[in-house]
Amino acid sequence: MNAAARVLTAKDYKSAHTPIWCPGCGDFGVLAALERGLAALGTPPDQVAIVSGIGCSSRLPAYTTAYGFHGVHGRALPLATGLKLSRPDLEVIVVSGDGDAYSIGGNHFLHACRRNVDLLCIVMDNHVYGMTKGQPSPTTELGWHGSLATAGTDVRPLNPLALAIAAGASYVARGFSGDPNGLAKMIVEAVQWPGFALIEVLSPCVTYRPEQAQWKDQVYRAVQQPFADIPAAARALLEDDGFGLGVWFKGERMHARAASRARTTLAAIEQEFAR
Amino acid sequence: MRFVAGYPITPATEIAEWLEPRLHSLGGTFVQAEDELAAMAMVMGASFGGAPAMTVTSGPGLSLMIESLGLATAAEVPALVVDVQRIGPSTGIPTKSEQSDLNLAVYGAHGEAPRVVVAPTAIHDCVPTTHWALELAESLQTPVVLLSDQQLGQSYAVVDAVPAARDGAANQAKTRVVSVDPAAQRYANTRSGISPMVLPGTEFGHWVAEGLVHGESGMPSTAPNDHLAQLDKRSRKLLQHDYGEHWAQCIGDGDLAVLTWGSATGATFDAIGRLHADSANLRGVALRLLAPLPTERLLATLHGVRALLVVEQNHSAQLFRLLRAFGEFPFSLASYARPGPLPLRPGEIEQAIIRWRHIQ
Repeated sequence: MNAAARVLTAKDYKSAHTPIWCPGCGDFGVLAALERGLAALGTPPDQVAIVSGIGCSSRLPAYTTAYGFHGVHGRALPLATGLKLSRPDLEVIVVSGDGDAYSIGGNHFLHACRRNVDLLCIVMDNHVYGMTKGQPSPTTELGWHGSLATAGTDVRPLNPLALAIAAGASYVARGFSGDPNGLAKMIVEAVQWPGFALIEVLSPCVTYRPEQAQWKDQVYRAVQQPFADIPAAARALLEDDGFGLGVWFKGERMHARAASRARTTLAAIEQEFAR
Repeated sequence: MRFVAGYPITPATEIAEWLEPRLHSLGGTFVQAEDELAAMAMVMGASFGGAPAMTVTSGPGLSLMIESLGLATAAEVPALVVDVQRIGPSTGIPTKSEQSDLNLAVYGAHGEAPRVVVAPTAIHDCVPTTHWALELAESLQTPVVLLSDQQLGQSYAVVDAVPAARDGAANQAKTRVVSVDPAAQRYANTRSGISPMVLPGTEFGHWVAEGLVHGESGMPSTAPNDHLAQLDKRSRKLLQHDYGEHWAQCIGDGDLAVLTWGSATGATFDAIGRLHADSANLRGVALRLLAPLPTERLLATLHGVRALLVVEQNHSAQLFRLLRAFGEFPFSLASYARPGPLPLRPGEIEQAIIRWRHIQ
C-alpha cells in the first residue's frame, strides 16, 4: 500500500453512477463537499466506508468510490458503530436525513451522541420526507401544509443540535449545501475530530419544499468560535432560528473504549471448558 | 468470534455476561446496544468490516431484529443470532422455556429471505453447535439463527469436557473466503451462490452492501432478471451446501421413529431409552439443522420407517408443520406438541409414544 504516493482530487471519490436526486436537490452540494473534503484530507476512497439508512440522502454511498453500506431505515448509526469498533483503521462516515436520523433512528441518534464513537454523521436536513413524496419530518416547522398534514403540521419541530449536545455529542455543527466549499472545510475538521461529530446540513428539497430555494438568503454565519461550555451552547442553539451556520460546539467528552489489546489467549479460555 | 453486541433480556443475558469480559481480554469488542434493532445493526457493521460477529437475545429481541435479518440475507452479511427462547407471544413468561420461535426464526422477514437455522440438542452441545453456526454464517455469507431455550440456557449440568469446535463437512470452507481482487463483483452470480467479498480497506476496491434489489455489482436494480438471479443465488448457496454429519443426532433402529429438536431431545431420547429397555424398536432423530430443512438426509436416515412422531415444546406443532410444508414423506406423520411452562418429561413422552404406537 502506497497511499502517500496517490495524489487525490475530488474526482477520485466520484463513482460512475448518476444520482437519482431531482435536479437542484441540495444533496448534490453535500456530495460535492464530501468529495472535496476527503480529497483535502488525502484519505484514499478505499480507506473510507460510508454508511446510510433509507431516504434520498441515504442513496449517497453508491455515488462515491468509497466502500458503502446502504442498510435499513434509521439504523445507519449502529451499523457504523459496529464497523468502526471492529475496524478503527477505516474512516467511517454516516450519511442520513432528518427522517432517518431524528425520527425512525431517533433512539440510535441519542445513543450515538452518548457513546461518542469516532464517527462523522452528516444529516441532510430538508424538513420533509422527500422519497415518500412530501410528508412532515421531525424538523418540519409548525403549520406546514403537506401530504398527511393537510390542515398544517401541529407538532413542534425538534432542535437536533441542542438535542445532540444534551445527549453528549462532542462536535456539533451546521452547514449549508449551497456552500460546498465551506461545508468541505467543516467535513475536514469533523473527520479529524476524535469522537462523534455531527454536521447537520441544511439541504433544500426543491421538489416538495420549493420555498427552500430561499434558504440561501436565510442562512448566516452564527458562530465565529465554537462554544466549549455545554449550557452556553445549548442556550444559544435553543435561541437560534435554525439557520445559523458554523461549528456550534466542541467539547471534551469521554471517548468510547477502543478495542482493547489481547491480554489472554483463546486456549486459556478454552481451558475453562476442560476443567 | 470477536464482536458481540446485545441488549439485556431474560433468559439470554447470561451468555452476554460470560462473553463481555472474555471478549475484552481477547482484544475483541462487546457493546451493550440501546435496543435489539441497534444490536443487530452493530453486528452487521462489524461483520461488514470482516469481524466474525454475533448477538444474543430472546423472542422479543428476535422480533426487533427481524428487519435487519432480512437485510443480512439481502446484503449477504454473515451474522449469528442466538435466540434463547422463552414463552411468548409478547412478554409471555420470560423465565420459562418453550420452543415456539421456530416459525419466526425460519420465516421472519418481509419478502423472501432464506437463512440458516440450527439448534443445539443438549447443554453440552451448545458450544460446538454455536461454533458450527458461526462457521456456517461466515462461509455462506448469511445470517444464522441458533435456537437455544431457557431450559438449555439457564440450567446447570455436569458434562464431560466439550470440544470447542464442531467441524462442518470436511470438504467445505469453515471461514469467510475473502477476495482481494478489487474488480470482483460483490454479488456475482456464481455456481455455488457464494460471491467474492472484498473487505473495506482493500486497496482500489469499492462496493456497497445493498438492501435494495441489486445486480451483480451491487447497484440497485428493478430489472426482473436481477431480482430473480439474486433470489436464486441466495437460495442456492444454502440448499447446495454440504452441512456434514452434524445435521442431526440419531439413535436406535426400527420401523417407527421419533423426531425432535433442541431441549426436547433429552426427554425424548430418555423416553426412547425406556422403551428400548422394553425391547421396543424405535429410532430417535434430533435435528440440529432446521433450515434449510435437510429433507433428503432425513429421508435416507428414516429409510424403512412406516410412521414418524414429532415431539416439540410448543402449541402449534411448528416443526411438524414445517416438515409437512417442505417434504413428501413415504410414512405417516403424527405430532406430540405441548407448550410450556412445564418442561417436557420423559414419562409423558413415553406415554405419548405408547399411545401413538398403538394406532400404527
